[in-house]
Amino acid sequence: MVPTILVVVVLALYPLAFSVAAALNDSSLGKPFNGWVGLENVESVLGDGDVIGALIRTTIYALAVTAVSVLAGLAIAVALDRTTRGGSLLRTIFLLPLLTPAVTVAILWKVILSPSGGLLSTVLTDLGFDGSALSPLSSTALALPTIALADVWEWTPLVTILLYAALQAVDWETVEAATLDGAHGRTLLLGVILPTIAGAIAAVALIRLVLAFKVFDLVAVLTAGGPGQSTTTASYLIFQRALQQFDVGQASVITLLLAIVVTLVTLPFVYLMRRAHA
Amino acid sequence: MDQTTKRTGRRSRAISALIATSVVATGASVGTVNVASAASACEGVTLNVLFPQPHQGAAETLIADFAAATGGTINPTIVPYDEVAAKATLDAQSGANTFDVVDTFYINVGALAQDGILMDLSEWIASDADLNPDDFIGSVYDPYSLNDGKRYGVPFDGDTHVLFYNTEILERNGITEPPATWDEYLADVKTITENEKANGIYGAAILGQKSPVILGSSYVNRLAGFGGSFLDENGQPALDSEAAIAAAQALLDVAPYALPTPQETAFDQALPAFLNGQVAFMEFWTDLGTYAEGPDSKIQGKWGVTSLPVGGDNTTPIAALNAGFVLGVTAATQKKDCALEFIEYASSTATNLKLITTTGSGIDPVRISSLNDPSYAAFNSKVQAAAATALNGALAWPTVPAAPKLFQELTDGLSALLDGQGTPAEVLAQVNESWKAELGG
Amino acid sequence: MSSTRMRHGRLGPIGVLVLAIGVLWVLIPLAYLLSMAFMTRTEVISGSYLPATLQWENWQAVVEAGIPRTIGNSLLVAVGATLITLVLATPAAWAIARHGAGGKALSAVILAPWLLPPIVAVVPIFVLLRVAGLNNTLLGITLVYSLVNVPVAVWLLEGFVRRLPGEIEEAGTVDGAGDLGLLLRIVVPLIAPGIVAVGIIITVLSYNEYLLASFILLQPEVHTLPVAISLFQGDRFAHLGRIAAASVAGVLPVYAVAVLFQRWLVSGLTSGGVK
Repeated sequence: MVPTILVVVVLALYPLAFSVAAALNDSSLGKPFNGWVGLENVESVLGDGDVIGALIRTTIYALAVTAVSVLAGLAIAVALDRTTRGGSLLRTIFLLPLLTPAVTVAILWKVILSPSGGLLSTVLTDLGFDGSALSPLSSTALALPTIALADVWEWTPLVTILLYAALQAVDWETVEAATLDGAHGRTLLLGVILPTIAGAIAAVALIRLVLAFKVFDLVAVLTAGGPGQSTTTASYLIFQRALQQFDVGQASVITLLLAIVVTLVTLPFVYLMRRAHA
Repeated sequence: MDQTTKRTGRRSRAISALIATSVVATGASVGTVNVASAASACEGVTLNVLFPQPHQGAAETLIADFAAATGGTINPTIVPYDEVAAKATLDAQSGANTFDVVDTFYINVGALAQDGILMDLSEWIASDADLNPDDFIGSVYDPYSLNDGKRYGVPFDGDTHVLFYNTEILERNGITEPPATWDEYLADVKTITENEKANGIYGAAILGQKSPVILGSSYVNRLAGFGGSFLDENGQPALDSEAAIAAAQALLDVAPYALPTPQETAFDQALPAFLNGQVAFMEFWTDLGTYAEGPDSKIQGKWGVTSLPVGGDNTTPIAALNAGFVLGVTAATQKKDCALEFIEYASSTATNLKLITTTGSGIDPVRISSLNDPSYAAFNSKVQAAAATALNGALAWPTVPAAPKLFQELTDGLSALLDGQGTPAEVLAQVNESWKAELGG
Repeated sequence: MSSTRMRHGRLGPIGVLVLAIGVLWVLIPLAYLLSMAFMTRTEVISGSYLPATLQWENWQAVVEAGIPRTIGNSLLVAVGATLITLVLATPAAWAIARHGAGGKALSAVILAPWLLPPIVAVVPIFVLLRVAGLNNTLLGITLVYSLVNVPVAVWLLEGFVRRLPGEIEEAGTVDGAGDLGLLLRIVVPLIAPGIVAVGIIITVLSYNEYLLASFILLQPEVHTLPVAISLFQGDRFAHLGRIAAASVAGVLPVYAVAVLFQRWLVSGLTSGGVK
C-alpha cells in the first residue's frame, strides 16, 4: 500500500507540478522555465479555436468509440461465455487485435483504405464499383469515424476480455436461483447477469474512454491530423505543440485543460461504479 | 541575406592547426576519403552523432571512412527524421548530454540555437583553414547555417525538389517535352489521368499529407516557381502576395487529377507508385534518381527529370529548399575538437561527392565543386542538370526560432484548402495573419 | 458447485451471429497483414490479395534489421513491468476495496495520472531517468511502464476484489491468517482470472507502447518492437511488406503467451480455487 501511494505521488504530482509550472512560464522544450508569464499561455490557448475544436472533437470521439466498443465487447463476451466448443480458440482470436502494435494497426488500416490499390478499393473495383472514388481518410466527414473504426478494432478485445473475466466470476448460485424463479434468456441476462457485472462494465468503460481520449498513434500514421483539422485530437495537438514546435508552455496548458475535460467526462462512470459496488 | 559572420582573425586553437598540417590531399577519387590522416583530435575518441533515419545509409559510409581517416569512432543514433530536434533538445535539457553532433533539418536550427542546444560556430567557420565555405552552394549555405547573424552548423544534405517524370507514359499520351510551366504541367497531368485512370495510371502523385515536410514541400515548389517568397524585404510575411495565392491555386487545381488522394499521400504511397510506373509526374528530392535505377524500380531507363516548372511572371526555375540537413555541434559536448573535425570531414567536398554518388545514401549536393564534378554527372547525369538550378537561386524556408510553428500553421491552412474550406486567397490571408502575430510577438 | 466450467445461458442464434461477425471483423484485416508480409513493395500498393510468389526476403530483411532482438526486448520489458505492477497494485486494490483505505476517493485519485497523454510528462520522466542513470536502458523503461500502469491495474483489480463475498475472508481471519496470508492464500487465488485478465492487458499496453519508448530508448540494442517498426515506417522508401513481416513476427510471441494465459483465465476461478 505504502509503495503504491509513493508511486502515485511521484507519478501524479511531479509531472503535474511540472506541467503547471511550465504552463505559467515562457516554456520551450529546451528551456521549460524561461521567465514567468502568468496566465499568458492560458489566454492564448483559450483563444485558439484549434485547441477548443480539438477538445470538443476528442470528447465526442472518445464517447462514441467507448459506446461502440463496450456494446460490441459485451456482446462478444456474453456469447463467448456461452460457447460450449471452440471457446479457447475463439477467445484467442478475439485477443489478436490487442496484441498488434498500434503503429502496425495504423499502417494496416491505411493500406486497406487507400483509394489507390487498397484492399477495400480493390474489392469494390472487382465488384464493379469505382474503388478509387472511396477515400474515407481524405474526407472531413469520414476521416475521424474511420480512425474510430480502427480504434474500435484495436481496443474492443480489451473490453471483451475484462467482461469475459467478470462474467466468469458471476456467482452461479444466484443465476441458478433466478432460473428457478422463472427467469431465462433475455430476462436472465438483462435482469440478473448484467446488473451483477455493472460495476465491471463501468470500470471497463472508463478505461476504454481514457484510452480513446489519448488516441495518438492512429492519428499520427493515418492522417497526421488532416484533412484540415478534422482529425486533430487533443493528444496529437499536444504532440505537435510540445515536440514539433517546442512550445511546452502551450502544450502544458492543453494537457491541463484535457485533464479537466477527462475528469468531468469520467466522473459519471466513477459514480456508476461506486453505486454498483455499494 | 547579409553575412554578419565576424572574422576575428583569432585562429581557433588546436583544430585548425592540426588539420592544416595534416591535410594530405582531398583524394577526390570516389573511394575512401582522406582529409586528415596524421594526428587527429579524434584518434581513440568516440563521438555520439544523432542522425535522421533517411541518412542511415550515409551514416554507415561516414563511419567507416571517418574511422579509416582519423582513428575516431562514430556512434550513430538513428531516429525518425522529424524527431531529431526534439530528441537533441530533450537530451540536452535533461542534462544527459549524450550527443556531440546533431544532423538536423535546417528549419529547426533557429529553435535549437535559441534553446542553447547548438554551439555558435561563427568563429571556427571564419578562421578554419580547410572548411572552404565559399565552395558551399550559396543558396544553401546561409539559410542552413545562419541565424541571427551567427552560424550554427555546416550544410550536409542540400535537399531540393526536382520534377521527375515517366517517359513512357508521356510518350503514350503524345507529350514530347516535359512541362516548363505549372500551367503546362496541369494540362499534361489532366490529359494523362483522363486517358489512363481506368488502368490505375495517374498524371501525378501529389505529396499532400498534412505534415510540413510533405504538404509544405509541395506548396513551396509552386511558391518558388511563381517567384513568391515567405517573407518580404522587411521580414514581414508575404503569403498574401499574388504569387503565393497563384501557387496555392496551382496545387488545388492539380489535386483532383492526382493519384488518389493527395491528402493521404505520403512517401509510402507516392514512391512505390512512381517506381511502379503508375504515375507520370512526381516532385521529389534528387536522390529519387538512384532509386529509379535501383533493383525495386520498374521504370529503369524510362524516366526523366527536369527542374521545377515556373508560373506567373517568373520565367527562371528556382529551387525549393525542401528539407535539407545541417551538422551542428552541441553546446554541451566535451569533445569539441573532434566534433568540429567530424563536421568538417562530413561536409567536405570529397565526402559530399562520395555520398552523392552512393545509391541510398540520402545525400544531395551541398558543394559547388561536388555538384559540378564529372563523376556526379556520370553517376546521374539527368539529376545533375536539374539539381544545378539550385545555383541560380533558391527559395529557403524561414529559419527563425518560430519556424516550426509557422510551418505547421501554413500546413494546416493548405490542408484546409485542399479540403475545400475557403479559397486560396482566404486561406493564405488567414495564415499570413497568424504568421504576423507569431513574428511580431 | 459443479467442477466443470460454468456458463450462464445457452448460445442462441444471435450469439452465433455476434461471434461470426466478430471473427470476420477481426480476422480479415489480420489475414491481409499476413498476406502483405509476403508481398513485394509494389504488390502492397497495387491491390493484390495474395503475393504472386512468397517474398521470404521480407523475413530475411526483418531478421537482418534485428527485429528478433527488439521483440525479445519488448517481451522482457512488458513481462517485467507487468510483474512489478501486479505486485504493487494487488495489495493496494485489496486494501482500498476491503479496508476502505484512503477513503472512497483514493482509487479515483490513483487513476488520475493515467488519464493524461504522457507527452508533456516525457520531459520530467526523462530528467528522472537521467538522474537515476537509466536512460537508454531496458531497466529504465521497465520501471517507467510498471509505474505508469499501476493506476489502471489498481482500478481494474479493485472491481474484482469488491465482488468477492466478504465471508470468505472473514473465514480466513478466523483461521488466524495474517493480512499477507489472507491476501496470498485466499484473495489472490479467488481473483486469479481478474489478475490474469488485468495482467494480459497491461502486458499488451507495455508491449505496444511507442511514445515513451521512442524517447527513452535511442540505441538499437535497446529498441523495442514499436520503435523499430516506426523506423521502418519512417523510411522515405518504406517497404510495407517488411513492416508487415516485422509486425506478424512481433505478434506471434505475445500471442503464444496469451494462449497460455487465457487458459488460466478460465481455470483459475471455476475449479473452485477457494481452498
